[in-house]
Amino acid sequence: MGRYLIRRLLTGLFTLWGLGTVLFVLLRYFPGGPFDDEVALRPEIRALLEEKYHIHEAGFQAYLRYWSQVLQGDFGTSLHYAEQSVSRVIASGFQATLALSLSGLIAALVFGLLWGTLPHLSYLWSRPARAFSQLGLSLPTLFLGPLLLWLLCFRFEVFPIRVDGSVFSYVLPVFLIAFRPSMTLGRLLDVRLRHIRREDYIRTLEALGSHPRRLIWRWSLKNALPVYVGSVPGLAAGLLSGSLLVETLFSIQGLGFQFTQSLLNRDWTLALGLTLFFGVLLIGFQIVADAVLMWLDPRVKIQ
Amino acid sequence: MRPLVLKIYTAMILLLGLASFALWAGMTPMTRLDLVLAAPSWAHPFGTDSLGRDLLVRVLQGLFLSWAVGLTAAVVSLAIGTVLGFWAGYVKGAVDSTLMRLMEIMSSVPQLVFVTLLVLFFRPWAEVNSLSRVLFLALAIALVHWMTFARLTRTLVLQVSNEPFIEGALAIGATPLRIFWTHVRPHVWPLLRQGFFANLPSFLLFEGFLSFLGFGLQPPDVSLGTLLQEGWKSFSVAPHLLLAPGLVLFATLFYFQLAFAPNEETQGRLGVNRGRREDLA
Repeated sequence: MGRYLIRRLLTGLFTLWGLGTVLFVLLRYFPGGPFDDEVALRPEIRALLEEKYHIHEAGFQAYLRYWSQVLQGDFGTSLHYAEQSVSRVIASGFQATLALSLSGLIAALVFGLLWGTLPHLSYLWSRPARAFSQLGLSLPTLFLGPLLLWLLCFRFEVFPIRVDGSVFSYVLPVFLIAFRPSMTLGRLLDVRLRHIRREDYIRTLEALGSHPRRLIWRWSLKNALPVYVGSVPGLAAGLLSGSLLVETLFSIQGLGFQFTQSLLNRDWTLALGLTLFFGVLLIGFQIVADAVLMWLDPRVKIQ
Repeated sequence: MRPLVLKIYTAMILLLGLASFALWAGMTPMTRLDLVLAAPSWAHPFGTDSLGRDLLVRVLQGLFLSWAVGLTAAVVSLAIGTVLGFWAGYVKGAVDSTLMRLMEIMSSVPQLVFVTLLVLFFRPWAEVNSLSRVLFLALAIALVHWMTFARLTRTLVLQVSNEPFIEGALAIGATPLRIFWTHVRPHVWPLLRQGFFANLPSFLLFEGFLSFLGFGLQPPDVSLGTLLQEGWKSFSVAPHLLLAPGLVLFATLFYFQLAFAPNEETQGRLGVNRGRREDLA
């Protein structure tokens, strides 16, 4: 397992290097520089700006310089925010996004467990629960977000419309981030549990008169859990990008917000830094989840 | 759901599609400044927008453009994914590992970066008319979303490629193209088709997501994404601007959920519901 993880780590690093290189080349040679939209920029000022930010340096030299900086933890200077290093922007946005995504992840896992097991726990609830999940899966955050904002924050004023740092104001954003992932998770779990219920050991227990609730919680869920854990990295990735929309909706100044702003402002150094940062997180998540999966079920062989 | 109900629902969705096409092709809703932001009424079932234009017409037009982008993107990415997936699974070796690495790189970033870059790159060609804008946006979406189909095709091709009938075909000198079309395709297609329909809604959603954030279509083009953005910005004044496009989007997605959701056996293999795109919007 140790050897496997080391190999995973190395391919992860290789992937990151490839990602950085591809994006660096694309960003450098694509039309639309950061100073192109400026209305009246005198040529000499423009030249000064470009020299300051090393826009015209020869390609390979700039590439080497960028990597040597990145390896020292310096992602360069933002091209939009005056005198702000990319690392500073990331550090300032990371807290909000981390809080949001982490609580979103936990909420998604808990509610996923609920949606997944509810159809199996009681006969009465199974059909309404499944119908609800069908409806929920077709409700995009794109619509649900503004809808809830209008209903709960504006119409009935249950929640504050802006996130002001209190725990209460975070309820709606976290719910929105977690809603769809929890629905997909619940569905995965539901399907898996349906398979497990047909297995011999469950049917034997059922015949012996085991209580349905005990059957689920004690005997079925253990075997369904690997599916659940296996979907966490994808989920974490989804949460990171899902926070993009929610941060825009609630104007939370997190990484997702900075990311969309950087793309809209053509702030390429910030966009590149954020992308690399996201890449590190996603690949890290993947490796951790694989390790947990192998620990849970030693039979699993991941190539 | 009962088949009859589903058929009626299908007919309704098709009719909506036809209507929206007719409207997109032939009608521009009139600007009427005496009817600005009117609430829904019999004359204007969805109300009117900030320029007094009938919202029903605009939503149908938006539905059509969203469909145009989503469907084109899905078809193109299916084509790219199938070709690359077959190539990787059939040739194996260096081609396979290079393509797999590429896919890994592409799926470890928020796809928004690539899409934005591509949209910028295509801009000179896209800014001709509405049609070209739609096509190039669809192309940009397809170029970041082919991995699902490529992965699926590759897995399926790898399963088939060791079968004796492939070996036999090779022995009598069949070209790769022939092997793909007559021997591999029948094995790959049923699952691939399911994967296509199961992933279709997420393409539609991705267009909405892009347009909502301001990276996709922009006014004067109307899509469900731009309409939702408009509705979001003005729900405090006129909630029907948000509700109308939202409910239409919801109805469309719900139909897909009922009609094309993968069944238990194939769900895991199709790469659907693995997070990412699906959860994005």
